[in-house]
Amino acid sequence: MYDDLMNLKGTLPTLILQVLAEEPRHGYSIAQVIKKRSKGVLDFREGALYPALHAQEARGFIESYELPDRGRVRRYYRLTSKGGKELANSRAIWKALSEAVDHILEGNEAREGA
Amino acid sequence: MMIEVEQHHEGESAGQPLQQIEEAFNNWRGGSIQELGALYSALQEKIECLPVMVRDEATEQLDEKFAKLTVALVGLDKMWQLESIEGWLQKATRDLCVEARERIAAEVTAHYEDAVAAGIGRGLHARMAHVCAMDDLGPPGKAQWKYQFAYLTQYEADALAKGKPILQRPLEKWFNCFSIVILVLVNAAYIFSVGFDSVNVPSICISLLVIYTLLDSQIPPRWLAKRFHRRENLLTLVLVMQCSIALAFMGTVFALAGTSWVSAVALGLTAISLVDDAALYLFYRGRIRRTYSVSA
Repeated sequence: MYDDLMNLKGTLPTLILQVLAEEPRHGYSIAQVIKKRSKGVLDFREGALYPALHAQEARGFIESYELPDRGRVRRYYRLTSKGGKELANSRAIWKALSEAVDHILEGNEAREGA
Repeated sequence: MMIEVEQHHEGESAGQPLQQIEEAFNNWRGGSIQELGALYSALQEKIECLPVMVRDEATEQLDEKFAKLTVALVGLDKMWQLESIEGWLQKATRDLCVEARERIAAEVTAHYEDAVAAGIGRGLHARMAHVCAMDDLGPPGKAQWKYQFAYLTQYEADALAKGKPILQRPLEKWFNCFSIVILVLVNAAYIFSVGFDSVNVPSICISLLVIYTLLDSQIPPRWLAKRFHRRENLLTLVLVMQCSIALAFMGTVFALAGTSWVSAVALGLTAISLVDDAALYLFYRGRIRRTYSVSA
């Protein structure tokens, strides 16, 4: 039922930016936060997370740096100021889109009820 | 010890767990990872109690039962088609350039190790934690498809390396982006000023080659990443450079050799090169647009 959820245009990058807006994280942590907060609904293939992260980094929305972690070096990501603006823009678009869809669905339900 | 077994498995004989294991394998015809997990957990329970249940049997019989159990576990591994993280990375990063492979390997390996540790922390058996971690990563083929668009392949890195002697200094990099336009305008002005009958074509073409030789420099990685992070931009740049060089080469040979067989061969090779570059560019451009507009 929810297989195509993560294919919605712009969903994953927006979620990544939102998670990184709170604090810098590494890839595994980002994936777990998204899954946990969506209560398992947004269950994407984690192998696909890294190209999305790299694409965001290439656009300048996030930046990465390496930190030692339990005897190994891990790459952390953090939001840039440009990414913050992009996140605000994406949230506004998403809010407008979801409200519009809600209106349509509620309208359908009202008609079906009548 | 037998009392303990009877408490846990009332009404079962010592041979029943093994029989149940065999039946489970024989009856299982595929399913989700959750079903496999349930099957594996059930088997683990049987395996853990097996030494207790058969402890009073002869050593020979005990060895035979464990041999059967080993075969069963190997069969389970085959059914799961267990992939090692190294094998997954090899498939997922196939054809990518060395830098991309190294970065992906470091990140995905750390990701995998965290996932396995978390699984074990939730009480999963190490093998089951591995299976879950690999399942979360997804099929390597799908990951490879996405990686192809996010990172440079070795072929593209090599193609880009060919273009490296072009862009380093600020003036040169912008000059090169518009070099064709500039050169066309310069030549048009020259032809207009002296008249077409008086044009020295070989000297014009040789001058183009000299200009490119003078622009022999390296592309700064940071500038490359910021300005040309998208694949179509990279390929456009390479295509423009190759076309410019090919046109200059073609014009020079044609002008120097007239209509001889040398010019015919040069024209043919140049045409093949241009068609190849154009096809490559168009092919990747379409794939990139689809990818960027759908998931990334």
